[in-house]
Amino acid sequence: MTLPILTRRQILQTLSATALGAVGSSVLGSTASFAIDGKTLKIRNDGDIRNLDPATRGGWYDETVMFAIFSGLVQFKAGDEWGWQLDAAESLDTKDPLAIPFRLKPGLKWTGGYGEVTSEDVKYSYERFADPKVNAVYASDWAALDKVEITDKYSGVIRLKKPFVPLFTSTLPHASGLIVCKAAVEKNGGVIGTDPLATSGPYMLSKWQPKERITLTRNPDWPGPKPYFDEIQLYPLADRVAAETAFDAGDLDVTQINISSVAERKKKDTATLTVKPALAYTWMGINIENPKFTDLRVRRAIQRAINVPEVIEATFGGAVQPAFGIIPPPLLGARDALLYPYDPAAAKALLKEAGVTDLKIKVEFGTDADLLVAAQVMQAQLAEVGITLDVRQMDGATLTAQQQDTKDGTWKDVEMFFITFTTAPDPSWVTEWFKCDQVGVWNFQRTCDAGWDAENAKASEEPDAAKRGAMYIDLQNKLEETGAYVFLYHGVNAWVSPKALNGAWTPDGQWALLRDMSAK
Amino acid sequence: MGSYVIRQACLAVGVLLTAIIILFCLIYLVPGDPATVALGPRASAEQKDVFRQAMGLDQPIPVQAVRFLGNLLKGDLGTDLLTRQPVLTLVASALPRTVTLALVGLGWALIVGIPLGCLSALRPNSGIDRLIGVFSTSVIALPSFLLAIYALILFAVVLRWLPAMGAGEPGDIPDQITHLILPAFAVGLGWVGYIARLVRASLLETLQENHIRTYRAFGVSDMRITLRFALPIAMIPVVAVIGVGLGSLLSGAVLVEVVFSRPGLGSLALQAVTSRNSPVLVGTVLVTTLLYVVANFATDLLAAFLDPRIRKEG
Repeated sequence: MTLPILTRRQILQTLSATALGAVGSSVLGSTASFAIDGKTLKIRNDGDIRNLDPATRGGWYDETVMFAIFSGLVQFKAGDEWGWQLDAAESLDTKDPLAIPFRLKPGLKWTGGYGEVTSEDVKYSYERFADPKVNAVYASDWAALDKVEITDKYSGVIRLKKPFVPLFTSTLPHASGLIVCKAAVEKNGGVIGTDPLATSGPYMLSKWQPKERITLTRNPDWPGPKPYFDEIQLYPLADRVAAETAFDAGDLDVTQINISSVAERKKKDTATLTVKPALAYTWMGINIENPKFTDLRVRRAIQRAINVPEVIEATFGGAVQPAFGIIPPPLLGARDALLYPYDPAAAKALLKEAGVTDLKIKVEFGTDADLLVAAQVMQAQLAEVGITLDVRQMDGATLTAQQQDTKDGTWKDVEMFFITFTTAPDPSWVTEWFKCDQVGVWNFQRTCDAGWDAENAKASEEPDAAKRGAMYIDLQNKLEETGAYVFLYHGVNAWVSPKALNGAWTPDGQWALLRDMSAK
Repeated sequence: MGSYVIRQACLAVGVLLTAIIILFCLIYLVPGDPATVALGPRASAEQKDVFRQAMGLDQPIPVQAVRFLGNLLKGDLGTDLLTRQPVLTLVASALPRTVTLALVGLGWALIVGIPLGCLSALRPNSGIDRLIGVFSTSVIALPSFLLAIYALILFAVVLRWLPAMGAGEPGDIPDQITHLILPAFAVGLGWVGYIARLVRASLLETLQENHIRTYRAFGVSDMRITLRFALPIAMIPVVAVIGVGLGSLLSGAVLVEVVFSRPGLGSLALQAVTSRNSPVLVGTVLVTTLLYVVANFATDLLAAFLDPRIRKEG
């Protein structure tokens, strides 16, 4: 046997050709899978899935997947207006605020051979929120539920103990309204984790590679209109900058981007830019129990010394509008003016009246680059009225731990902080966190007023929209009166996608509605 | 040699135990409630208590540490607080990615660095030696994450030659190679410089020794003396440095994994820190420490194999 003799040059040529071939085939391969023509959609997800149980789910990283694989009686409409449309329900009667009859579409099947979706599943799904064994984090979504009565295999009535306006805004169309398979969940000991067990939506979870990829494929038993994509790959990428880079490199088809990228994206015009007003609220809180801020005049002076429009313009360059309260503008009860707007002369007078000179205070917040800019602008504004602001950025979990620290009492050292909450599309979820029972839990300003709590409870039950809106405006007025709040902005959710894609998002752009996405 | 191996193995166990103790102390000292992170803002205090109880987080830290060690002996690294997946599964899936990245990064650095070092040593103070010196120092000074970012922008975004994220399709070797090129380049480039400088210095010293002069007296060519007789001796300190280097490569890989959104131990540990997911963090650090210890152990053995004096001294 003779072996072929290779010269050094031949070896180098062979190695180079092999390497180039491997690279080339892969590059071509990735281009092919990038194209939407291939019917595979690659989209960023905020994080990896944690828990797909509607009662104990994590956040929107779970919900984005859940909306695609589970069905609810109703679902959110894609577009710019908040609203709902029928999903698994064929009909739903909303006339009576205490009894909501529904009828399921016959023929809607569970994956895994669990048969049809029935009213028994609906009853099980909603009533389990009150089961202590489930330990439902979202139990308050169904707190008003008395029971679900079964009429027949497909029909039933949701009976409430008291009117609950958020039922059709943030419970039924949201993930708390999704239906789980009674037989499958019971078989698994009542627990749903990262395995949804059985689903009935247009897509199904076909593969989960932890921290790497979530793959959805079409549910072959879905009786409704066939969803466009054969496969949807969700990539859990917490960092939006990295995701935007991957989008530019063609590795992702759709991604959310930072607000700071919006202006540049508009100039480029190489992709579809979707910008939607976020259901979020960012404010600067003041700990009224810190000795520096026990005097209302000092807190009010800070409110009046900060020129919020200037802060927002400097931070986001016009991409975001200043806030006038905590309730985001698309929702009922959003305010359109402040009670105590920017007035440096008034701020100086208040400090003088309080006998405060040479005030040194600090603001703490998580590692958000935008908020750092905002803090620096505020630093300059406060300096103009004689207040020295120390800016401290830190790990968000550490700050929250200090704010919630009842054991060692380090919450007393917290002075001012930036904080952002996102919310469901109902004002009741916005105001929930400022009640007395939230002091030291999520109410880090530590403002507490029993009258405020009572009014807040009434507002969630008020069926008249105009009256309800007025109640929420009054609640925000009272928050501003405490001097513990400087409302900053509500923000936007911005996404980029190929021009060939018909994107679908909830009106706030928080959730990509995967089942409704298609190519043009 | 047997007693040497036993001594090194005992030392390795000691290092691992120390790492676990330090880690548990840090977890105790760093503020942040895993229950709040895992259950979100809507969880009540009672629900958080139930969670802490279920996950054993209500126990004092020393009890948690002892329980962890007990489970470790049974091959159980604990449970991810967020997904309830076994930590072992998560680590087992991330480990090959990080090890591959570190080994490929180090591998190409050795392939390029050793010849550069030899070239420099063969022509000391020549133009080529100076050029290699400048190049080596420059790449040592460049932080790997910075290199990763620029390589990403150039090759993935501007030229679109290589992918910007991920580790490639499982089972698709060419795809995985393509996804490995940029991260391995970023991880290994600094090491090219280190290795080249180290090989040069070590080789120059070896080339001055008496037995090398004897070879020269017998008329053996410079190339043969360098490659056949001097380089194996000169490589002994390089091997020792590689052992330590593999540890720093593993930690250097963290930033590169983050830049390239590449799954691996680094990104796993980072996510665990920010979400106060202590079981995942402890599991990840334990495995990284184990790798470090194994790499050191292997290089110690290799050095002892190459140099009998080390065996005797050890």
